[in-house]
Amino acid sequence: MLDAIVAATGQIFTLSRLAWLLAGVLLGSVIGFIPGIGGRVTLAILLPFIVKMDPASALVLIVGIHAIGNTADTIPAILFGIPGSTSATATVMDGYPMAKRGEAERAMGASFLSSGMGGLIGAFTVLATIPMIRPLILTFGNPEFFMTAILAIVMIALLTGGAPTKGLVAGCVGLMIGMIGVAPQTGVQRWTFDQLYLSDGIPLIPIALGIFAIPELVDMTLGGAGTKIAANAQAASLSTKWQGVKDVFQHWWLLVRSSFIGSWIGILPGIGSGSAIWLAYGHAVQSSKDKDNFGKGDVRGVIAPEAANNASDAGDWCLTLTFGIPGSATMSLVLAAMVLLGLPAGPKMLTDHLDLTLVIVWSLVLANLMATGLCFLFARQLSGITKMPVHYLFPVLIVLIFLAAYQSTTDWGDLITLLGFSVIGISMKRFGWPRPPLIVGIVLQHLAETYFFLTTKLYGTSWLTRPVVIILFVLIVWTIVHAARRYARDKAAAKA
Amino acid sequence: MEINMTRSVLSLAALTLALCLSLPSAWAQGDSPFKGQTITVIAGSSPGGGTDSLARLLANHFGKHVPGNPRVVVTNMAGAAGLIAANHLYNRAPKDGTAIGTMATGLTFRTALKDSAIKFQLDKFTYLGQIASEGNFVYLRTETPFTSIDAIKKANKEGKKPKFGAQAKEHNSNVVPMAMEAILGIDVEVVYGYPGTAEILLDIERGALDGRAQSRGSLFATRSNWLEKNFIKVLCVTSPERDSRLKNVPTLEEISPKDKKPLLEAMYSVQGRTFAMPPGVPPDRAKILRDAFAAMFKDAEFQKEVDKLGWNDELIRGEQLNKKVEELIHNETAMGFFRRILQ
Amino acid sequence: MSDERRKLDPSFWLALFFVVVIAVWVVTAATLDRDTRLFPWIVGIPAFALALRQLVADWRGVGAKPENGEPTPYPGILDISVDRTIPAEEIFRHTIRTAYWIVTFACGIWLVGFLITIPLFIFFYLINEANARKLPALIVAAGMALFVWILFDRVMHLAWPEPALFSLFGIKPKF
Repeated sequence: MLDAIVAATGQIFTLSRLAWLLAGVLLGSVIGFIPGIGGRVTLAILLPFIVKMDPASALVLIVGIHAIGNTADTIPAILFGIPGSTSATATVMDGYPMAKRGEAERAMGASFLSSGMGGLIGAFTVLATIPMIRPLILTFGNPEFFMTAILAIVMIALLTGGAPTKGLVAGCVGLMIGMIGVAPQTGVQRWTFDQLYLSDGIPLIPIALGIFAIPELVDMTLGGAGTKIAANAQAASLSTKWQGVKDVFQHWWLLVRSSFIGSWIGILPGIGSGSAIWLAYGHAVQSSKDKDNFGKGDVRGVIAPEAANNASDAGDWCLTLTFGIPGSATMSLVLAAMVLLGLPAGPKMLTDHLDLTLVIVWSLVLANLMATGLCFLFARQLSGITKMPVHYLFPVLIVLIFLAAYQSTTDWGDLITLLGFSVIGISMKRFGWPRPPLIVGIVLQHLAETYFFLTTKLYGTSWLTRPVVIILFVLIVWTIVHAARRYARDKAAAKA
Repeated sequence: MEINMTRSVLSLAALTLALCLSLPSAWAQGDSPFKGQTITVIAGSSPGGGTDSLARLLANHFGKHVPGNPRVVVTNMAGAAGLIAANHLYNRAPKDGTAIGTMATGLTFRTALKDSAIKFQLDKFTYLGQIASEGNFVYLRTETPFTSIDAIKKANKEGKKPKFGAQAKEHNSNVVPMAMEAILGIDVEVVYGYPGTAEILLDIERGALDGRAQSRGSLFATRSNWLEKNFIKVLCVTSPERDSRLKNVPTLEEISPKDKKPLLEAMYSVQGRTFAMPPGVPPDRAKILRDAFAAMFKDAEFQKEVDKLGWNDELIRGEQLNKKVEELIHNETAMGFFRRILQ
Repeated sequence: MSDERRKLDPSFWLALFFVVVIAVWVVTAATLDRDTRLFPWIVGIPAFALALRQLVADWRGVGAKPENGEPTPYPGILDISVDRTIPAEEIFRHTIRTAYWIVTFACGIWLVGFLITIPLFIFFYLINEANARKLPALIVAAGMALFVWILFDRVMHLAWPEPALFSLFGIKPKF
């Protein structure tokens, strides 16, 4: 192992490799921060060129492109309330209100630094557990994955306890929307009404943009012409990115905990960053004494999910490299690139190609630092967008949203989905139905059902007695009971 | 300063008009009909899928062998395991040779099942060619009692069945075991619905599954250590000849009853990685492209990449493919066979 | 207890929508075979019960009501709050007006495609809603159209949809 580390260090600290890393970061930033498009598309465009490079440089470039995507997707999330990708959705909750208060730069400072540090902690956590990962994944079977998916959905639905019923219904509806399409196990079409577009399931990007982005754009222009996003700007001194840095150090323990949550969740196949951000956010809420500011611009609501997001990335990489199981669409592209480079994802990456795996770990560390630095540099300029009249931003963003929705499967159905879910999203926002459980339900449905089905087919009913399953079951019950108790307590307090 | 508004608006109109007029194709003057053109390869999967790698492989190498050196780009049209792309290719794509599509093997099965979602006739495509054919290794863990076909038959009598893992129903990982059931008279159980190869391999390692059918290149690329450690026993290979890397493994043909040979032929025909163009491509253009395809196949650089992917390269020219496909879908034995094992 | 008649919580309508959707879901799942309808029922039946519960709660107006000026009438919800200092009727009017723009944009794309609709939409929106002067509006519109064309057509080779008006006249855009 030690000589692999030395070899990897030698491979990465050459001028050309570092240049490739930087190139990846810069390239990724050009397209990366348009909502809904991001690193996946950059990778797809560059794939033909990447495969002609030598494997180490190619991997380094890919890591660079990917790393900035994860850091830069918070930029539109904070500035417009539009998550650049689903993993920035939790950051919107508090990042956007901060921007409306004129603290966009502070939010960005906190977010970038948390991303960077979360990524570092994640990379080192994964590195430390590489020897344990294979046995861990092998012990965690289909039943355990299923229970984890359920736990994630339940936790997110009950996150603040304010409207547990609405949250659970939203989560269930999300699961049901995810079921549209061909049932993966039996091959039977469900709720597709003979439409070819639906037979693969409704694509996620138009749904996410419809549910989150369009409602925010509608509300953005609520004030008359001349409104700016940062309408309620407050004290200038509190709003710099350096204040954001101070915030991160003030809440360093939350940062570390969120990073651990992220790394561990990211290692679980498929559950990945989609759930990690919410679990970290929820943990931040539940573990703090003064919860009132969450959702209104509490900087902790930016630190926790961002740290978890980048930390889960390291776990995602690990899973892709050592098991060939991509945890996200971007990772599938990475996998494709690896195949074209002649690198087989699987146990060989930990034995024959251990040095390349470590090159990736090193690249993750460095790319995180570069991406953080780059974004940090431009935080002030970017936050200047919040001082522009919103009516100029609106049409430009609408155009980008429509394009991002359309390019997911280049079908008219994408635009219809976008519009349809916009209506649902606006209604949910107006009438107090939480939207995050809906998205998480859709994201996790395929996995939840696949694992459930495989579990029953392979284990019959004996899976219910597996030790980890019982532990997870207890956790789920505890979450529900805890939320119910808190709801009752809040209602009683409100009546008093 | 006042700018003439009318002029500005007219300029804008002119700009947009120019933009949309540039959209319809303009024939380039030149010796080769493909000079200055862009050929689009439609990949029937999202970026990163297996079909996507195939499309990109073609895009990387094809252009330089076509006279006129056209640009070759890939566009993705994911959905329904390649069906949406195939429907589009057949009905909507330009028929001048500038559109090529990847043909998923599941399309043959859908044709057999007379799936109503199909909007094409499989044999009417203008086939470009096939670059590889992939046989599958069928293997089971050595710790199971299913270490040979006879052992499986014995276990069947005791009510035990080997558990295979598969991806989608029309995927070879399901079709091959089901075909073996019909051909060899054994009883197997296939659990399909796995998201991908990696998950199946994990469950085999965990002991939740007993084995699977996996394409040859893929097994060597992902789990060659299983072969070295004798963790699995390969029962047979579904290609016409034995694999040079595993000479002791018999072909399915060798262990099947002689009267089942037509069914085996049917199976071989759905293991190819093929490309096609819409029906009605002018014969001279089709010939140019098919010749270019064959030239590309002989290119050393191309061969290197195919080897890296672990595929077994085998060229079949477009004209022959057209004939083969036509024969196949009028072959009631084969089509009936697919119908039987997939329903 | 307030003695003025409480207006129906508008959340009721959304709850009703979900109840109906889930009910239809569960019922149509009965036509599927056992394996395929298993998961839909495991999720759908409890979901129906919960949605019904919420429907009843909204009917009775149990959810907390906003004090004037409070950011949200639904405290404790994990989501972004709406600015409640603006009266509800104005929010509604504004939503409809914005929806009109978005739907018009979508129709434009359907009729004549992205590359024509984008500059037109931006130009007219800026003139009407942002009270912009014609020249800046023109520049933004043209600039955005150019950016989209370069990135999405030249670089990404996006497969543009076939606009309805074009196919009516038989003009086929490339690809």
